[in-house]
Amino acid sequence: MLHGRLSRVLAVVVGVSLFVVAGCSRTAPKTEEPAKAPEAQQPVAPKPDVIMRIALNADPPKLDPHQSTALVDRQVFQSLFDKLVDFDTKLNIVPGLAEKWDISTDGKSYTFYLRKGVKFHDGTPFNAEAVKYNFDRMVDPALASPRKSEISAVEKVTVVDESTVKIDLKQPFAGLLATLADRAGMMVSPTAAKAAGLDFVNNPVGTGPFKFKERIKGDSITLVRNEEYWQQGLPKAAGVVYKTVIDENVKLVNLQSGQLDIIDTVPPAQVPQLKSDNRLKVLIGPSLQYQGLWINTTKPALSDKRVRQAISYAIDRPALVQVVFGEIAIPARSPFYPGTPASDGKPIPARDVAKAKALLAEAGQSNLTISLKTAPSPINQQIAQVVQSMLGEAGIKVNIEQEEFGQLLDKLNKKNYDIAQVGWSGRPDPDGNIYAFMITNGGNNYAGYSNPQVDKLLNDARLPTDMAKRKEIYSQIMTILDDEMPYVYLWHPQDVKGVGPTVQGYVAVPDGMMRTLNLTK
Amino acid sequence: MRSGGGCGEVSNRVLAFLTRRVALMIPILLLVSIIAFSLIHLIPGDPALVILGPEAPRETVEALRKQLGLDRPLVVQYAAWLGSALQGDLGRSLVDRQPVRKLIGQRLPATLELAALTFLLAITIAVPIGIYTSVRRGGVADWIGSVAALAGQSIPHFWLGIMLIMLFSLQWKLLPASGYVPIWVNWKANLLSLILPAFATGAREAAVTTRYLRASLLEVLKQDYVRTAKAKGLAEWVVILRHAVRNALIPVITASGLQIAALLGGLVITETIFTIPGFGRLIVDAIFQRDIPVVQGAVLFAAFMVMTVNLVIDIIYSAVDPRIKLSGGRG
Repeated sequence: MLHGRLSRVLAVVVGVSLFVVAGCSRTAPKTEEPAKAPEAQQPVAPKPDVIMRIALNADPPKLDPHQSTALVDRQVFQSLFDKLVDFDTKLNIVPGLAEKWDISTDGKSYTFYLRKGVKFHDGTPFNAEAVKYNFDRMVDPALASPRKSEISAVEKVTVVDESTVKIDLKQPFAGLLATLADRAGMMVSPTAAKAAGLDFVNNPVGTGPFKFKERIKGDSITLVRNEEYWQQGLPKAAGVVYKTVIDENVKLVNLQSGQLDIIDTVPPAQVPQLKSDNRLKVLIGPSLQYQGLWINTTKPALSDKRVRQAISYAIDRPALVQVVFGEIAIPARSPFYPGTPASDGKPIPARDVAKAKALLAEAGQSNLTISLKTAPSPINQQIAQVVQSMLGEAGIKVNIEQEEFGQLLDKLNKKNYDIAQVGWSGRPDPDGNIYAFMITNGGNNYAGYSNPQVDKLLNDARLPTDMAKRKEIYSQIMTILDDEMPYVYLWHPQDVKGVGPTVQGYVAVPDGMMRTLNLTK
Repeated sequence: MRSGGGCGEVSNRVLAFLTRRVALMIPILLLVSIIAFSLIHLIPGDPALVILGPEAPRETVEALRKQLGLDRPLVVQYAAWLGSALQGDLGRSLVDRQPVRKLIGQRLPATLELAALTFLLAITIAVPIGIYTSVRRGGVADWIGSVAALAGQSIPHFWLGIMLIMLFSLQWKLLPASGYVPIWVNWKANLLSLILPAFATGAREAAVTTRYLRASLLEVLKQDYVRTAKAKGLAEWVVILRHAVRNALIPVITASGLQIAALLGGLVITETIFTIPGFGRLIVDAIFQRDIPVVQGAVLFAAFMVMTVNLVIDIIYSAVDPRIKLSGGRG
């Protein structure tokens, strides 16, 4: 009798124990108003033992700027590494490890005068030799560095004297300084890099305000103050802990409970409520990002530009932004965020369903059915549904296919899709937002788009050092792209950060990076 | 009454049993590793591309693919992995080059501790309630207990987790919302940080265990020897505690064993909500990142743990029920 009962029990146990992992819907919790009144916060002198806790939406894979490909790495780099030059809040280039620089009149030669007396975290000196080593490392085939293509214009790096270094280019490259304000300009310690080789990713050594202490994969990265930092009296905090928190709602809860000081995303639905919570600060500002739809021009129906134009005309960009994002996004018509140098300031195209239908009829595609591929998050699903509904009104039937990001990338690369909702995180220099995407066989050219005229213009735009001239060229490119529509630009996500009540010294910069130098509580 | 001969004979049997079980683990682990390897390679998506992300230039992706040996035939890749694994080297993470063994070692303690606490919590709730409601079956207490158990089993534990955080961390500020601290660093902070997650998952485990115990106990209470004991004049509570419960625990122990094994992987969602750097999340993250060595090493290790737990359960089982011999026969 025990047998029978046992097997029955076991059968039920097995059935019950089948747990379902994954696909848990993110129930947006209703945040209740705190029962206590907010405490008055007085700015006080920085305490010596302040630790800043910052949330990241993914675990940074590689803490080596020369091997890094994920964007989230860059956040941690702001604390660990100084760059040759940096950005101010208006994205102007300002001195970093280079105090000043000269550019030759032909734009092919840059001479950097480096700061003296700066040391790496391991005590070794920062100097021109170190800069040369960094550049050599980026082009070293053994490292297969993603930075190599970023500095492909560099021909030669010469050590002039201990604190002067000269960089010669193959041809003028106006975006060089902006590139050197990001990972390609982050200086690593030659001694540490030589000793660690590829393992530098786990033992980063730079000149930055904070030094690496330890990390727990998937959980946190702990940094401590660099006591010998070259800026007097800085950094203010005693340490920074970057915590990996993937779920937006969990992040928010932790900010509200005081366990996190700064979070890098806020769920759109929670923004109005947060703004009314006067203990927290929600910072919404300009960014460099854009989002929209890739159109696979290699597919027969989509190779006709009238069909692609129809897709663009069918979408009401302001309505999409209003419904899904509220105030944390703005409508887009180009890869350049309004107000940035290359942005031409043209108005957002209005929705025109009649025109869309006419174009489709002309192209003989009045009953088109296409698939829309997108990432699996709830926000992506919402966007896809809005797009589906808008395109439906123009006579295009859209089937939504949500794919895990790895698979999505794969399909994009293999041109195995119709339209796909994928955007770009954005770069300060306009070239970084358009070149690899629109040039023939570009690494990010998922549309399979090829136009020799555009290719020439993209290359031309890299040459002048005068931004006004470059802006003209980008305007010409956008005029062509507006007609050929390989990518439908839909919205620019804003830079959104949630900041705790006691945090001081946080300044938002449109590149989305959280700079920790002046942070304290 | 214990069956079998003298001490020597018993320990010989135990030894034979253990040897057989351990020997059986090896082909099973091999099979598990082949399945894990095949599955992760069946998922579409080039690992090099996924690891480097959309921001990486094409040459870097190609170079990484070669560097990781992803262009070799699958059989060769598996054989290479197996060769190292047999020497104790589970390889390095493709994403950040940390040794897989180190990663497992870093992430296992949190999950083990959480699983243990969840289980303990479940037992602490389930045993008294299970016993009480079975004895007082049909009464109000039983009815309340049944409804509570049903609720506990039905409420999704991730929702419960978030609700608990909002209540205990946000509203009442009694417990931290996140922030696991290892027990050897600060045991007080460690326990505080694990109370809510243990409860979120433990509520369901408690509900399930309560119902098993109750059902099992009800069966046992109908047995002849129980009626005999009562007829002999023993108080009902004594009868229950000394005789019935012990026998009723047998199926519960088996169920618990399976529950613990399930917990080791099933705590992924709890780990995500409470941001605990646990073992379950390690595997899930590695799958999404196509971090093949981590997936293989961790899945293998998980299989090993589950088999060990089952072995331990079987040994306890035989110790608790003298009718069951380790060799699998019945006395």
